[in-house]
Amino acid sequence: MAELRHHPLALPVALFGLALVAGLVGFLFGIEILFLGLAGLTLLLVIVLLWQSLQSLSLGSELSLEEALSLAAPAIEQERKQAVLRALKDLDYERSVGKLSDEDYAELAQRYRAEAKELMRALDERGKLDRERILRRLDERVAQIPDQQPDEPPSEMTSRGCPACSGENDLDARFCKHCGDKLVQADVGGAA
Amino acid sequence: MPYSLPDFGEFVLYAILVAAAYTFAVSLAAARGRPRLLKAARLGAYATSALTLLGVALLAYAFVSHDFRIRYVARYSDRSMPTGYLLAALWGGQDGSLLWWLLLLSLYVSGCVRWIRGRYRELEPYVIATLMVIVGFFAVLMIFSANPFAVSLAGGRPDGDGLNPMLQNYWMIVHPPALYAGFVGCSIPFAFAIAALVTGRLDNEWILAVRKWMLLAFLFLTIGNVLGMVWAYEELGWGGYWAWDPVENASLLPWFTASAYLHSTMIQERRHMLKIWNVFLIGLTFFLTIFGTFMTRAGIIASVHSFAQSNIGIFFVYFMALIVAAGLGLLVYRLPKLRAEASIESVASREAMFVVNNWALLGAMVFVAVATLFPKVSEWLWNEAVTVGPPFFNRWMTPIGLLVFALMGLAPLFGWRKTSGVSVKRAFLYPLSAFVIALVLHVALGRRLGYPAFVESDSFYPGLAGAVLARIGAAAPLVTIALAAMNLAVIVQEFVRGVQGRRAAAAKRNEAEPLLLSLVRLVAKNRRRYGGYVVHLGIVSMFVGFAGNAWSVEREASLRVGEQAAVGRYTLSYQGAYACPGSPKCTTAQQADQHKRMLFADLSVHADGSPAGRLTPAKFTYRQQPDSPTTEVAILHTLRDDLYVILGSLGEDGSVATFRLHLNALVAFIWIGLLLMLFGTGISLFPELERARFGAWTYVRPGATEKPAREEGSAR
Repeated sequence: MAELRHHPLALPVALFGLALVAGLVGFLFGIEILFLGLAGLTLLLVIVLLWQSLQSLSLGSELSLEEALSLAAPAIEQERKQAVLRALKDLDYERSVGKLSDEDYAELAQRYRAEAKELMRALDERGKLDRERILRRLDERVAQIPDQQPDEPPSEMTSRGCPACSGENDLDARFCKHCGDKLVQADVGGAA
Repeated sequence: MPYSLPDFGEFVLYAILVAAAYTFAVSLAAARGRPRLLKAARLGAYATSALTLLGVALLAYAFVSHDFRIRYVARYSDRSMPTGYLLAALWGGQDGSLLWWLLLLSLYVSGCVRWIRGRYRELEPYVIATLMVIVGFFAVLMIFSANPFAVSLAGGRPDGDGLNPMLQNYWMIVHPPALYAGFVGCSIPFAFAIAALVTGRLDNEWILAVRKWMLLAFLFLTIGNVLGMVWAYEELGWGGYWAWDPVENASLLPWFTASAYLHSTMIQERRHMLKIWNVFLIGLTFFLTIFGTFMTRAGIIASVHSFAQSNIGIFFVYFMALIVAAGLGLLVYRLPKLRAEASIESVASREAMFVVNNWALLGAMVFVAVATLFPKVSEWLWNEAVTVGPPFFNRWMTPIGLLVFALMGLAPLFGWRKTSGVSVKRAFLYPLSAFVIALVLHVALGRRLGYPAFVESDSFYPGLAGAVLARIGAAAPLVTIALAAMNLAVIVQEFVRGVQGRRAAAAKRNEAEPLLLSLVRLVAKNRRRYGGYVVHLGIVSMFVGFAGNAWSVEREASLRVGEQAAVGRYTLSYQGAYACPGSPKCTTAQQADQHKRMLFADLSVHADGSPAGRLTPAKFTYRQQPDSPTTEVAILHTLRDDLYVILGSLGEDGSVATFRLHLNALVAFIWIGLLLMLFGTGISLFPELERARFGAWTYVRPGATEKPAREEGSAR
């Protein structure tokens, strides 16, 4: 189902199907019914969308992987790298059609290459840091799972024990409410 | 609580405003460090769009079910109208067209929100917020001033007034939606510009996002404008296609700035210059769409197709003030970040050419805007409304147009930064030769072929300016054709050089690339560039069509049955008149027509002595408006010229008829130009097939050589 949704032809096929149904309804029941039906369906859609929107206002709402990813932003360096690579491609083209002299090309290309190198280095650096952070959090999370009761699946856990006094605490608690000891943070906090 | 359709429709308008306000608030909250709310904002934007669709569906239902309680329905439809025109009436009048406008905006909003997922994350909440302000404005406009669901005070009527017969034709069904789609499309670039200004993310990446949306808006503006020309030409029946009417001008203004932007954005991408200018152009384009609407909707300037007067003007004034204040304020606030990172190093560079071209386009825009507003301006200044007519526009726009046309050809010949003497010589050789050859050939052969190089052009101003303009007008056809030849040579040269470059590179790798494959690959790899050249080709074709205007002939003829009249190579002979329904000459559809009475004048046409068909210009008298018969022109289209016949008057018994005969040279090239422009813009717009989408993984991916932690588990 999920694969079907992401097929590039999914939208056109869906639209075509919709138009077909609409045409059929219009033909069978008259154009008035068609527009009334359209209005009804749209009203339904509005209610569903608004309901979902209001629901996702609460912080506890679920986020799918795809949604979490879509909330993330590309790094500035990433965007600039794309721009520089595109500029280099254009430079090659300009030279190939003889609009750029060779020395100009050499100078510009060198400048852009240096910039690209710098950006890639920055991206590497940043990526390494982020990667370490993510791996660390994963490790923490993995280390936490055995602490739970074995019969309780991790997805249903609503509380966790304090390592010092073994009192129950909320999942997102930072400090134990029984002994005040600092708790290890469990939440990964989205992808950003 | 709404309990009838008009009430419910009005309720939906309020709901649009509330939903837009909600989405605005949530997206601002999302921008303030709560990214999870972005999901709510996106859904809110979709919901607002769906509400607009609901409103349009309700109005459409009211039209097809003939709910004449609603004032708008009663005023623009009647029971006899076919379904197609009933739906066209959705945008046939002021109130409905605003709702329709909002629907198109909603489509753009939905498309943009869907498209932006996973890109430009920092801009996204502000883009949505800005768009919601615009949606909110139109909702306010409808609720307080132009409510399409308002009921008639006198109560429901048995039948409506019907749609203006002028509007009852195929072109009118497609022309306004296309034009609105262009107008509305300028909102998206504006939203991006505001978002970039607010966030300070003013690198060159947002400019890339804007480019495609602006290109889309440009495409629809072009289609809308040219369809308007087709409509004027085929339906209005005065012999031409562009009358410099305020409404036409209003739709032309953003076209100028949009095309200026599409060029200067390249400089920013390539050379990191003109950043302020680009933001300004985007803002100006959006402003002009609102200003144009204001000018024509609020009854500021009288026009043949302006809408009835209403009090919506003041809302537009407030909104325009908001746009200007927000836009300029943010621009000034971000000035330090908008500093250019390079400067123009040489006049002989493409940047310099683009800048000149920008100024020419902007000059054209300012000229048209001022001239359109001139009745108002002169009223303020001298207490006397001075209206400027089409000849004034034609005379002044000729040099400006030719300047832009020349620059269009010259700019691609220059390289970025500076152009060395050798490459200038190489680049200019063929285009300039084409220019000179065309010039000489035209002067030598033009008259013999019926397209003289110089035409008569009277100076209607006293003094030097009038004399100079008259000279320019006289030489305009010659210069246009020569410049067209040069432009053509430039475009061909660009393609040839590109293919040569590709094949040379392929030969170096010891691969053979066939000519055609090479061409296809060249365009596929640089779609934007070569799409742009195809658009230029379309403009060349259009200019040739405009030049044809100078060689058009016009005459009047009063003919008895059996008499003949000649215009150019055509001879027309009048065969008599017939009326439909009634006469055996009518088609079945005409016989069955209950809405109007049609009077046809029957002409047989001979071109250079051989039969070329029949023309039947007509007068239609609609049942709904018996006092104002419409003129239906008959046109014989050929590539070379159009024979355009208007029925002036017809005697009671049909034995005498007067005609206006136009022989419009080269008009077909304008429509061909439109097709080329559509094709070229399509090439440029076609989505990147292997587009690089960034997700959160771009943070992780670099340096991830061992087993990456990319499976589902890490996302929650």
